[in-house]
Amino acid sequence: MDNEFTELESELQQLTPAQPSPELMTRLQAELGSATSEPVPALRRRSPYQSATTWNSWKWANWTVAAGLAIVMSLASWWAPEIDFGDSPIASLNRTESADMLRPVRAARTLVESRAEGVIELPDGSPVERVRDYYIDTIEWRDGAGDAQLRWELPRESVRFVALTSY
Amino acid sequence: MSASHSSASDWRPWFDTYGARLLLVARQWPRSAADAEDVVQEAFVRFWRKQRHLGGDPMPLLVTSVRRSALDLLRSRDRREKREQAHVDLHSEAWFEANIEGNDRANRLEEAVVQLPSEQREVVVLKIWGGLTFAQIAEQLEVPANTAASRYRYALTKLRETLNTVENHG
Repeated sequence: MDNEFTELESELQQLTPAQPSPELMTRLQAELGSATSEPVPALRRRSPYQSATTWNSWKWANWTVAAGLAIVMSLASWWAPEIDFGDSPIASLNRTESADMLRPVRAARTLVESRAEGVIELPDGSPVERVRDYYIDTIEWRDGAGDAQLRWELPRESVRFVALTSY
Repeated sequence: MSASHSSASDWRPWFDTYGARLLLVARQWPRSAADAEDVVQEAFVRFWRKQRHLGGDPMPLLVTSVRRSALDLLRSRDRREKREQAHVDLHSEAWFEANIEGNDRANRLEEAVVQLPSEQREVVVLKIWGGLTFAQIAEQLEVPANTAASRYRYALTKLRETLNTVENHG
């Protein structure tokens, strides 16, 4: 289904919201000016498939994941041969019991970005909004006897269709 | 940006990117610019101190924070005061930057957006300037995604009709 409002949406996007007043900036400066400096997330939405010329790109992340996974698997086979890595790593979180081996201490699924890709029409004629979600699955293991820790990160994306029966 | 940058400047590029859009989002609930700035200040400070490390697209988090602060502010006000405020502010304070090129159609579009029914306008603002999906808008407004999409479609239909009417009779 063609979006009949594309041109109007483009016009709307060209309208610039009013800028905050200088007073608000002053108040924010007063509140945040002394905030501790920590790494901040990216300023702009970024395509996960941009050029692999930066260390932040997902292509490099995939290599990192592959290397990390290889390390984890080799260490796991050495330290914890009873762990079954045939299943999902998240599913294996509860399978380590000994204190002197790497133990999973954290599992997280972070939604990095949801990008609306427009309204399309399914074969049955019903309109849906196609939304692509980008995730990073993270698992951390820690050695109970020492300070060693491992982190496993897997970028992942999924596409879902949100039914818009009234659209 | 990195941790080596001075703390005072960390939030500024962020706010340069999101501030105006957040302010427009905030205007959907408390209608005065002053109240909206209070809301944005509270929400952004909360986000910056507690949520910016969470990763992911920050806009849904920021919008959630803005809406929560806005509704808290509304609940703290007398209902009569809110009605009076809404009536006055809708027509007295600009929601968009001045159109210095004198584009009449853009001016009419701005006015038409402001005049939309509030439940349609908030969906348009969240979609166009908030960059949210219909699913995220539905979550924010606690309505089904179909309802959010319908309101959006009604709003854009109305905007187009308004523009066409003025151009045909103007």
